[in-house]
Amino acid sequence: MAEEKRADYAPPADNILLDVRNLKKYFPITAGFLRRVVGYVKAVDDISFFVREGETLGLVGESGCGKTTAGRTIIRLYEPTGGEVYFKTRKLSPDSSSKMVNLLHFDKKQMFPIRQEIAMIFQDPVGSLNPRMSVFDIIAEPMVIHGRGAGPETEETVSRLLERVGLRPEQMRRYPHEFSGGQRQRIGIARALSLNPRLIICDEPVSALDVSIQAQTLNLLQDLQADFNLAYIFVAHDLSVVQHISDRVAVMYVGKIAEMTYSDELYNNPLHPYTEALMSAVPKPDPKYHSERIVMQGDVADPSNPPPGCYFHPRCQYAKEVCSQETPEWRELEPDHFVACHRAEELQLRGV
Amino acid sequence: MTEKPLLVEIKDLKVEFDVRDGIVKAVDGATFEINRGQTLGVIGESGCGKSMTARAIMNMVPKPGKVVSGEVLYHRCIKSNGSEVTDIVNTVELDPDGDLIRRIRGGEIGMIFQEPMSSLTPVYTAGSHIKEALFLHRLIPVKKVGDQMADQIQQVRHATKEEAREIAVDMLRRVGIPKPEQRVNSYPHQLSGGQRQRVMIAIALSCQPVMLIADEPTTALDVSIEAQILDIMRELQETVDMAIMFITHNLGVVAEMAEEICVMYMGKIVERAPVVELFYEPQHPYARDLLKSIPHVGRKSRERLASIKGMVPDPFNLPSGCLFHPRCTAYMPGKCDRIEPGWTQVAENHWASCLLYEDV
Repeated sequence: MAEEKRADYAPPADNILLDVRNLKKYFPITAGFLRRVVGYVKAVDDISFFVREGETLGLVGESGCGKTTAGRTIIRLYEPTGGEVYFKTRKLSPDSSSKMVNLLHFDKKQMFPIRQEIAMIFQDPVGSLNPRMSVFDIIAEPMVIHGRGAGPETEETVSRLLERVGLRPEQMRRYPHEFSGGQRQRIGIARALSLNPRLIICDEPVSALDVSIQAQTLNLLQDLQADFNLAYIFVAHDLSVVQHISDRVAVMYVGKIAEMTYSDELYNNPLHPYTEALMSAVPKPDPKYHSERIVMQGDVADPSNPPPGCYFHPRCQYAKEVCSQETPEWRELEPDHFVACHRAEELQLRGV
Repeated sequence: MTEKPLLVEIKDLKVEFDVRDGIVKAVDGATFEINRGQTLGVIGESGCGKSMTARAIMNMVPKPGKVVSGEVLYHRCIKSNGSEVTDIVNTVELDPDGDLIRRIRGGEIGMIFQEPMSSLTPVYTAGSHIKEALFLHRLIPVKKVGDQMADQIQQVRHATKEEAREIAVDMLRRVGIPKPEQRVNSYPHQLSGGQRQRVMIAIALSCQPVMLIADEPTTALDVSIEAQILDIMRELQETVDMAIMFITHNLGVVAEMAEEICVMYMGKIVERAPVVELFYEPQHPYARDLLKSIPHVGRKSRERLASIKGMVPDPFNLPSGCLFHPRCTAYMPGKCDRIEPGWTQVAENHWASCLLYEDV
């Protein structure tokens, strides 16, 4: 049965870059002198999604919903509790042909070459750059680690990367504190690009930036994607930013994905009540726009002690008895429109 | 809409920071007024002086900052013997530790800070935070039994412990915290971010201020919690007729909350207009570009955003003339880099500080 279900959402094999199936990450809660495990925080609880080559998948949700953990578990910055992560790599065959491999079966040594193909951009442009390393060292470090950074050509590569992200090559001997927040984020982007990755996991890359710098950074990310055929997993909590940059969006709630579909489809025709409520809560930058806002009651469920059935049912205005008893199934209701809700077919939800 | 009486007038306010590398003009000639019951939004990027303007109103500019010129005229309403007298106080000239400013701070002008995590003391409960404000500022009328003039307040006294606790519980209930009787004894770390911010709002509102300064009150919160907080603020504003100065960089929030908006850039107010006009007919190029640079929910995705080129200038090395001219799309060589723009009225209640609207 489980196999059959999986077949339902198995994506077309041709241009899939990353295929995550039933990924789980539980953090243990320990207590007492012996650090006995008394429970688990289910940060990522059985999520499945895929990323096609050259596309952007947005991952949105409220704080604590597990979106960052999901991103980090994929490249095994956290060891996953269960699931499968298939990635199409070119690094394992001598003729650099593509091959689908399960990253979670790899040990550290096997993972090493694959890390060239998956890069990460972090949220905090101040904290993610070592203040004692020059910009050159920061950008060249991944190349050095992977044995590509010897000789004068490194300097050339670094200056090319700096130019590409809109910084001046002569700034490469400077240190991070000499740059503004937006420029530091560009340094982080240049570092992520240094090994020609195919997938970049962007963890809230613009949420620490001002509006005008945010627009510049988003445009830069889009340009780079077009130039290098990059795929992004774009983790953010700002729905307007996510909609802007993403081809497809997955909405997470307490460790699970509630809904995943094309960005325009999600915003115009949501199928999950959580998506509807979340979008109605976004303040619209238009003073003439007045819509009934759906105010979700209470707080986000506690991931260490989630409610039974659908995790969203205590805050859901459409909840029925079945919602508090059975966990909704993750299914493809319309082509490429996945949802986990018992009442998805019957509900008429409004978009923005 | 009838014209509401003036509450706070800010005239040519200048706040400077004298630091080792030179003088930073954090606020450079801000002029605006806030009426009773009105919501004024102040928008701008970080470092543009929004928070410093707010702090200057409260006479709380941190060192080495200093108000070097200008005035903040606060029209204080004093009730005595049933009649109301308006007393005009220039808050920036008051002794920052004096009796009067301490009565105004928190008591008459409340403030909500951006960081709900760090603005509560971890060793005190939510209730004691609220009670502290109550003991300092809230006075309870003494009504004698059988007094014919019961609504004419003769005497006031400070709240007792029991009364303060009751008010604290009531305030927590009003800001939407579940089980307020228990939550009043919770410490900040036992509350979520949204609940902490609600406690902040409860503190600010418990003394029934005539004006609330909200400095990025929802920036650290999720959209669903933000929506709840904005609803609470609006609801409370309706019931107590309080003015709100809403400082934010989120244009969506300000579009929802404010009646009038000031746009700040590098310590100066560059445009001021009613909210609808600002969003539909922005006049200053900075305001125009700022509005274009935000992605809209529900718009077609994957389009390029119009971004403002360049960066905010170095405060020690300000451009000549109009501060925005190196980034401006309507830059007029020979004019913008030489002449400092004045303050021009472009429509009714709509001002901009740009040479496009001046005859030069």
